[in-house]
Amino acid sequence: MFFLLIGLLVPWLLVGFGSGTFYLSIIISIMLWAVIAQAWHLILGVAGIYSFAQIAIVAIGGWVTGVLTVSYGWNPWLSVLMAALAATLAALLIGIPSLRLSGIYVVLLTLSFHELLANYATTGPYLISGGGYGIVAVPHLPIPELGSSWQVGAYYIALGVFALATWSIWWVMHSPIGYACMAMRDSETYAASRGINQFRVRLVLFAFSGFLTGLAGAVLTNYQGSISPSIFEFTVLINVFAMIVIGGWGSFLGPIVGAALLITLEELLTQFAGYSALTLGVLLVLMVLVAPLGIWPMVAKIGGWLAGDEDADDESDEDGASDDPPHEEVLQ
Amino acid sequence: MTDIVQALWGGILTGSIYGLMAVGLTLMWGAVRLLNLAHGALYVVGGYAAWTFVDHGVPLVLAVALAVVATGAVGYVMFLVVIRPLLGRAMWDAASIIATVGVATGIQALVLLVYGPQVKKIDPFLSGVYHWEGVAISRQGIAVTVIALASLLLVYWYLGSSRQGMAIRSVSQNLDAASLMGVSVHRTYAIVVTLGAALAGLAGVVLSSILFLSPSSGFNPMVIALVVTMFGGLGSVKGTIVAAYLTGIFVSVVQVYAGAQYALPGLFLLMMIVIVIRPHGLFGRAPVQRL
Amino acid sequence: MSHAVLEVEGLTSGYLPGVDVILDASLTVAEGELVVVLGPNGHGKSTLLRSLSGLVSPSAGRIRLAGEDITHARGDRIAAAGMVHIPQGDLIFPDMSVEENLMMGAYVKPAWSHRAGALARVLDLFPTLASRRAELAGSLSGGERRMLALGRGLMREAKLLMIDEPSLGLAPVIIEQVYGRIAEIKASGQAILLADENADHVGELGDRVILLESGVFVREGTPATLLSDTALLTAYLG
Repeated sequence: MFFLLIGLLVPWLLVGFGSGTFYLSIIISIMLWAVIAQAWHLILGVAGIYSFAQIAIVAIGGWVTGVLTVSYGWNPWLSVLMAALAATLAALLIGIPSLRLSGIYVVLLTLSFHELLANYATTGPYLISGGGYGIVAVPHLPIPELGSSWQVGAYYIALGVFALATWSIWWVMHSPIGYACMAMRDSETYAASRGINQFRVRLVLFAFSGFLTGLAGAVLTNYQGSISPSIFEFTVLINVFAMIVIGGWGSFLGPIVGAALLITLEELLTQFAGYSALTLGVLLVLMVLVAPLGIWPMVAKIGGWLAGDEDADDESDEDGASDDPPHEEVLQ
Repeated sequence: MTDIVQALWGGILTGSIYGLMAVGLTLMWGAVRLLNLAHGALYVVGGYAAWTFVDHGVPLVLAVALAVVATGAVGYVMFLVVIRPLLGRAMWDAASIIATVGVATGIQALVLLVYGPQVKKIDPFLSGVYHWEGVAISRQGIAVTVIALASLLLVYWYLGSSRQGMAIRSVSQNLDAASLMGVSVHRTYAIVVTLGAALAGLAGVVLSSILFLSPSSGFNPMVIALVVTMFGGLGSVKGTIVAAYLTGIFVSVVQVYAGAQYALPGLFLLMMIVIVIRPHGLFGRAPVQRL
Repeated sequence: MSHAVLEVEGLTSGYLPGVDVILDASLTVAEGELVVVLGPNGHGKSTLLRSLSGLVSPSAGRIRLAGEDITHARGDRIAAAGMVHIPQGDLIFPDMSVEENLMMGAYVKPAWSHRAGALARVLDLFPTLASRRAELAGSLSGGERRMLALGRGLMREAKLLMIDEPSLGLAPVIIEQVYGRIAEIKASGQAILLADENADHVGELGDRVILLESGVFVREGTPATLLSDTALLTAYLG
């Protein structure tokens, strides 16, 4: 609640003090990508399913709102809603087969889906592909003028989406569904013995995650005014993946922290675009070798240790130390 | 008749390239249980290495050989720095994916920094075209097919008949037993990753001469290679070779009869269906819980 | 005077750190001896053998093979040093043919160049394997797999041959055949460490017997002395 208050005041603080809309736009970016990261984390870190379809679903959200508003003249609010629903449907369509497959096959299935959409978005009908350039001139979400710049209004929309997503994800993670998913992630046999209907629970999670993802993707598209096939590039996918890995895999705040870190990093190093990507790659490798659960759980633990508090592990819900390594036997 | 020959020839050429792209992946999965998401980056390394050598006046054949060796070396370094420390740890599946993704990102960024984003191309070394039944069959295409096919058969022979090759197969099938037979598991892993990387490097050179080369040009071929590997049966070299040609012919047929823009989407769609109905592919073992 | 082929002192070992399955075990195997480790399932027989062949790393103790310290060596090095472990569950290579499985038995450098001769000898010893030599090992029956595992272990010279549960999961008739082979192998002078739950053949074959209970060696002696102690036997093996 405290954060929400701060959140509400931010634009006034920033714009009021004359720093312009630059920082505001970064924060908007962070919030929307944080939603995407969190939603993906629900699948990846909480449910333990290696789906790489996230960007594809973002793209569906973005494209639906883009096409509806640009080619059919829909009201952007409606198109955004439609986009979220379409994304939910897509998530379900991809989710159903994914849930029946083990580990790496999901990677393959979802990567194929990603490439399939990428191809279609580039070479498909003009309505969609814009000749390979995507959709441009997407209208902003209409909102009354709230200050010196339309960005302020956009900020509140993004904040609203962010708050909705974050709160509902927190609620889900701490609900029976969330616990069920974590139980399944850590031990399928245990979960089955407890009578948890694995398929249905995970499917619900997929749909939920898809809705939020599509919503964020749509709002992002309306905010940026465009969407292009460049969103399907490997680097974009990895950027969001890194938000989860570096921010904190398995913890609630992790993806949010990751999103903030990564987007800030990108801005700081804009002139050195190549270097930021290089840093990212190195960071990912370092993370997995040194701090496999990401930064936030480490920070939480250190913070808790400093405060002399044993409950510091609260934030790092479950560490996913459950994948049985195929090489176990060799090491003994 | 022209169409059939076109589709067939295109299929053989495409299949040969797919096979080369995929065989390294299947080796790494079969022997090390590593899903190498840095494979695309390794294609790029091979391509840029060859391009650089050629740019400095090295004769093409030597440049290609050097590029293959260089990519193998990169693979070996990747093994030492990133793979080996993770062996035996919990969360191997997730960790190895993150690690190879990190390597891929790093390589792509490095290449971008050093070479810039402009697309490059390696000129074909053979010119000239044969015509048969109205179809243009380039000598370059024949050369590529021969090289790829030869490499694939060489790998297949190596695995089947050489002592080290049998060691690799033994590690894929039963780690403990392999150890008991005197096979050094870690050394075998190193060999597989290096070999797989070298093969990726060769694939990258081929791709650079047929398509184009850019820092990000490895991603799409990698996804193709991944699904071809899956289709053949993860870990089965024989399966990969068969799958490569089947998919190559499929893509070629779609291209000839329906249009180029449907070829790849059609492939991915088909593969998605295959993954769902028969994930273990043609020659893989039906899923056994690897717990 | 026979030299000890295997010397184990104070071996403590387990799969997880801190959870030891074998506790302070000591034993020796002399040249040409057949030592039997007898114990119910789950009491550590396999862990013991796996610790000796390098699949499990001991937390304490010392292991010497023909004088060479192999305590913390990795499996492949121990195999190269002359240890042949025919593991519980056979651990054959399912996608290799019978012949290829046998060839892998001769993988270590000194044996590799002689593999053709070794193969001929083993196929001679195991006619069932000879008749199935080109088939994939995964298609063999339980008894055939046991023979394959045995044959594979014979493809190279062993300072010590360790056989883990040769009678596991087999019909009595097949068990007879398996032990018949083991008797032949012993007769050739091979030092053997054998672990089993089944005491039936111990009397005819074993030079010494060690009883293993809950990870600890509780009794050691000749078959005659141990097996004559019927009270011990019934209490121990039901």
